[in-house]
Amino acid sequence: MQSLNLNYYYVLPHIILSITGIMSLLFGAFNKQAHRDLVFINSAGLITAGVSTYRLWNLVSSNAKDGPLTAFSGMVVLDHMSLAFIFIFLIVAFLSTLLSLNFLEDEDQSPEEFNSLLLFATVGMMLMASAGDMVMVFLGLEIASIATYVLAGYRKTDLRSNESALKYFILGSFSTAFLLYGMALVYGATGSTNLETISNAIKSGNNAITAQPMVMELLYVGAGMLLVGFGFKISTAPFHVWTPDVYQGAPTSVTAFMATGPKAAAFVAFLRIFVFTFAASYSFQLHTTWVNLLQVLAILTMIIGNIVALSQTDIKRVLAYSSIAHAGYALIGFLADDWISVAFYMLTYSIMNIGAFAVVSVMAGKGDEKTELENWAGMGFKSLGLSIALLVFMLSMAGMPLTGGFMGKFFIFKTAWDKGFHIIVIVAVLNSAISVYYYLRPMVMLFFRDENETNPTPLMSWTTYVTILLALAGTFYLGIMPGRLFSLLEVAKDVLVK
Amino acid sequence: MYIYLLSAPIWFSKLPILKDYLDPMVLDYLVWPLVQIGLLLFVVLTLIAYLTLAERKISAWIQVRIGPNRVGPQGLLQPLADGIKLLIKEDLIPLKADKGIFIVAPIIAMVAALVSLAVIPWGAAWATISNIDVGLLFILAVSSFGVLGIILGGWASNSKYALLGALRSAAQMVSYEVPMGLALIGALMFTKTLALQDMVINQENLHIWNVLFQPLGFLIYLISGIAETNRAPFDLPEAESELVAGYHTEYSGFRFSLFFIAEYASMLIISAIAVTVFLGGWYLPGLSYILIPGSTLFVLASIGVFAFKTLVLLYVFFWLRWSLPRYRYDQLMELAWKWMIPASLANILLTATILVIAKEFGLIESQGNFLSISTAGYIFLIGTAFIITVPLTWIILGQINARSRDFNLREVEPLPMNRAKKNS
Amino acid sequence: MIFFLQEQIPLPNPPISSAPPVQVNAILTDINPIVNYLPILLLLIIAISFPVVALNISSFLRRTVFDQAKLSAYECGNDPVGDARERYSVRYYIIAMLFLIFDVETVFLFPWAIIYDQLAIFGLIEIFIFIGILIVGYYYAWRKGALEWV
Repeated sequence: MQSLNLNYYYVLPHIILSITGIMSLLFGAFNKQAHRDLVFINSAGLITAGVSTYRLWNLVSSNAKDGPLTAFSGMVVLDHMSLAFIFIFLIVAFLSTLLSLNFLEDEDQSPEEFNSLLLFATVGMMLMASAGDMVMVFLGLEIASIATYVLAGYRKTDLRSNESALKYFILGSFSTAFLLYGMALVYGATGSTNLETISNAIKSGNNAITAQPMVMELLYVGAGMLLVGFGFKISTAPFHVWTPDVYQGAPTSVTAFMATGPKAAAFVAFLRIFVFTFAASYSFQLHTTWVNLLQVLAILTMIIGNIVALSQTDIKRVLAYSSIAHAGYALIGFLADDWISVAFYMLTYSIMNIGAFAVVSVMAGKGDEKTELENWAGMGFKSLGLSIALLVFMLSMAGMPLTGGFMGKFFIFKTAWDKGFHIIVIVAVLNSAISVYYYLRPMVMLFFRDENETNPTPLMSWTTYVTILLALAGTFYLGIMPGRLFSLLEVAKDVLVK
Repeated sequence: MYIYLLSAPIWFSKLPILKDYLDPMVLDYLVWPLVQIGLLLFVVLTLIAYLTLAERKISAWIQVRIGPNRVGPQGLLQPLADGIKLLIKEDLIPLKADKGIFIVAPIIAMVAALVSLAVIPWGAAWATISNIDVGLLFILAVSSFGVLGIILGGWASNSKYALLGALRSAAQMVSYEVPMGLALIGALMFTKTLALQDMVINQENLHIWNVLFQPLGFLIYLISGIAETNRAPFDLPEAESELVAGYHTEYSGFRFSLFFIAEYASMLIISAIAVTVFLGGWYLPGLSYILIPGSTLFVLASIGVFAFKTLVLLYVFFWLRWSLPRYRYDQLMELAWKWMIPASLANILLTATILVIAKEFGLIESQGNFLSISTAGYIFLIGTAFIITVPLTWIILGQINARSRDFNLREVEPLPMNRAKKNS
Repeated sequence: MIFFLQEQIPLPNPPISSAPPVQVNAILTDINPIVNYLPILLLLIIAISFPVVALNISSFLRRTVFDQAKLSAYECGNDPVGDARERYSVRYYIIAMLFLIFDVETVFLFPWAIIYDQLAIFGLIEIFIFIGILIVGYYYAWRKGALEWV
C-alpha cells in the first residue's frame, strides 16, 4: 500500500468548482437579485476548471508510459477516460447554467442555491469519473444525486415538481442501496474496494486479504447488484419507470441537466467498474456473463424506449423515452469494450439534448405550462428560428447524417459490428428508423396544424439564445468535422492499452 | 498494543474468600466492579436525594427563609420522606397515552444518565470503574440518549404541554450540545487523550489545571452544561408559567422521580466532566507530597478532592438558579447559535494558532502521549489565553451580534424603526 | 503550487504510556480492549433493573383508584380538546438539521485535537480549511434566517 499521497493538483478542477459553488452561495446570500452575476461567476469557475482539466490531460498524455495518475491512496485515478468525461460534465454544467437563467429570472426563484447545487452536482459527477475506488464512486454518486434531487424539486410550490423530486429521491435512494449492496458483496468476494486491486484479485482468482480462492457466487451476485444499481441511474429498460415522470415534473432547465450530466456520470462509473475492472482479459466467465446480460438489457431498453415514445403526447415525456432509448444505444459500446465511442456518444447526446430541452423550455413558456404537443399547434411560423433549431436537434437524435447524432451512432455501431455483435446492431438500426416517427411529430404539430388558440410568441433571454446557438454549433461540428476530436481520443486509446 | 487493565486494590484481592476461590480475572472484571458499582450507585442516589434538600436549603438561605425543618433534625430526613411519598403515590398512565413508550421513556432517561457514571474518574487508581480509551466520547454519546427519553416521554403522554415541553427541551439540548462538544476540543489539545483518567494524569504531569489554558472553553462549557441540563436560567422546558411542568406533566409517582433522578444525575455528570477536563479532576497541587501516591489514603483523599470540586460546581448551579431570571425561548436559542458556537469555534482556532506558535518557538514539545511545556511556555500559553483569546473572541462576538436586539456587548444606536417607534 | 498541496501527512508516533504504574496498570498484553467495557455493561444492567424493581415494589405499596377525569390529559382542568399530536413549527426541523451538521463536525474534530501538536502547521492549515467551510455554511444559514427563532 502506497503512502497517502495528498496530491491536490490532480483534483484541482474539483476544488475549483467546489470553491466556485461556495462563492456563488455566499454571493447570493450577500446580494439580492444576483441572477446575472451568478451566471458569470459560475462560467468563470467552469472555464477555469476546464483549463486545469486541459493541463491535466496533457500531463496524463505525457505520463502515458507509467499508466494513469493516482492520488489519495488510489482513491483518485486520472486517465484519458476520466478527463474526457470531466470535459463533458463541464460543458453540460456550462450550458445548463446559461439555460437556467431564464427560468430563475422569470419565476423569481433564488439563484444562488440553484447555481451552487448545479456546481456541486458537477463536482460529484467529476468525482465519479475520476474514482479509483468503489467508495469514491459511491461518494461521487451521492454528491451528484442529492444535489440533483433538490434541483428537481426547485419549483417549490409546483405540485408536479415536488412529485418529480420525491419520485427521483425515493427511487434514486432505492437504486443506491442496490449499488451499495453490490459493492459490499464485491468487496466480500475480492477483499478490496480499490478497483485496481479488485481487477488483480479477479485475475488471480484469490481474495486480496486472505489469499484464498474467492467465493465466485458473491462476486456474481455483487456484479448483478451493481448492474441493477447502474441500470437505475442510466435508466435501462426494466429500471426505467422513474424517468418519464421525473423528467416531466422537473423544471425544464433542470431536466436538461438531469438527462445529460448524471446519466453520463453513471455511464463513466459503469464503464470503470465493468469494462475496466471486470474486463475480458481477466475473468473470461464473469465478462461473458455480464456482456450477455447487458446485450439483453440494451435490446430491451431500445425497444421499450422507442415503442413507448411513439404514444406520448407530452414533449418532455417524448424526450424522456428518447433518452431511455439512447441509453440503450450507448450500452452497445460497452459490449465492444470501447469507452471512446461511448464518450463520444455521450458528448453528442448531451449537446443535442440540452439544445432540445432549451427549445422546449422557451416554447413551454413560464412555469412549463405548455409541454403538451397539442398546445404547440401552428406555432412553427411564429417562432421559426426555434422550430428549425428543434428540428435540427430532433433529426440529430434520430441519427440524420451531417449531425452529431449520426456520428455518435455510427462509431458505436461500427465498433460493435467489428467485434461481431451483429444482431444487436441490426436491432439498433431498426430502432433508429422507428424513432424518426416520434422525433418528427412535433414538427408536424408546429408546421402542419392550425393554431387552435392564440399563443403569444415565446420570449427568451440572451443566455438561452446563446445556449441554443452553442448547442447547434456543437451538433453540426460533431456531425461534420468529428475527425479532429476523434483522432485526439484515438491517441488516448493507444496510450491506454499498456 | 497498550491497554489499560482494570485492577482491584491489593487489600481487596487479599480478602480471604476472594483470594482462595476466585480467578484474578473474575475478581478484577466482575467482583470488584460490582462492589464499585454498588457503592457508586448508593452514594450517587443518596447524593441526588440530598441535593434536592440542598437546593431547597440554599434557596431558603438566599431568600432569607428557613427551608424544610420539620422532618428530622434540621429537615435532614426530608429526602427520605419524599422518597417514600413518591413510592406510594398513585401511578397514572393517561388513557390516550402510548403506554409502552410512556413506561420506557423515564427508564431511558435515567439509564442514560447513570451509565455515564461508569467512566468518570472519581479518584486516583482504583477509584474509577472503567477507564476506556474513548471515555469522553462515550459520555457525550450516552448522555445524548437522555434527549431520547425526554422526547419519547413528551410524545407518549399525548398532552399538549408535555409535547411542547419535550420539543423545546430537545431543541435546547441539541443546540447546546454543539458548543459543549466544541468547548472540550481546546482542552483536548493539551491533554491529548479521550480517556478521562489519563486526562487527569496528564494534568498532573503538567502540574496545571486546564482551566488556565482554556478559560474561554471552561466558560462556554459551563454555560452550555447548565443549558444542557435544563437548569435555570435556561429551564424553559419546564417553565411553570407557560408549560405547567414541561415534558413530565403527565408523569406521577415514581415515574416522575425517575425523570427527577435523571436531571440531577446529569447535573452531576456535567459538573464531574467540567472538573475532570478543566479543573484537574482529583489532582490537587501538593497532595502527592503529603501522601504516598497510590496508597489507600491517597486515593481516599483524591476522592475527597474530586467530590469537593464537584460540589462547588453544583453549588454554582443552585446559586445561578436563584440569582438569574429565566430567558425567553428565542433568546435561549440565540445564545446558543449566535454566541456560544462562534465563541467555541474562535476558541478552537485561536488555541490551535497559539499552540503552533508555541511549538515553533520551542516552548512546548510533544512527547508521544503528552506535552512537555517549559516555564516560558506556561507563561506564554496562560498569558495568551487570557490576553488574546478571551478579548478577541469578545470583540468578534460583539461585531457579529452588533445588531442583536436582546444581547449586546456595547451601546449601539437604536435602529431607525425602533427610534421612530419610541418617538411616536 | 503552494507547498502544502503535496504534503505527506505526518503520522503520529506510536502511543507511549505516560501513566505511572501505581495509578493505572498499563500492561502490554493481547487481551482485547473490549473487556474494559465489561463493568459498563454491568452498570447498564443494574441501572436498568433499578427502576424496574423500584416500580414493581411501589406497585405493592400504592393505591390504585382511577377515574375518567384523572386519566385524561392535563389541560388546566378543562376537558382535553382534540389530539396533542398536531403540526408544530418548522424551526425544530431546521434546528435538528443544523445540529446534525455541527455535531458530525465536532466528532471529526476530536481525533484531530488529540494528535494536533504532532500535526503542527499542517494540522493548523487543515483545520482552518475545515472550520472555514463550516463557517461558510454557518454564515449562509444565519443570513438565510435559519437561526432566527421569531
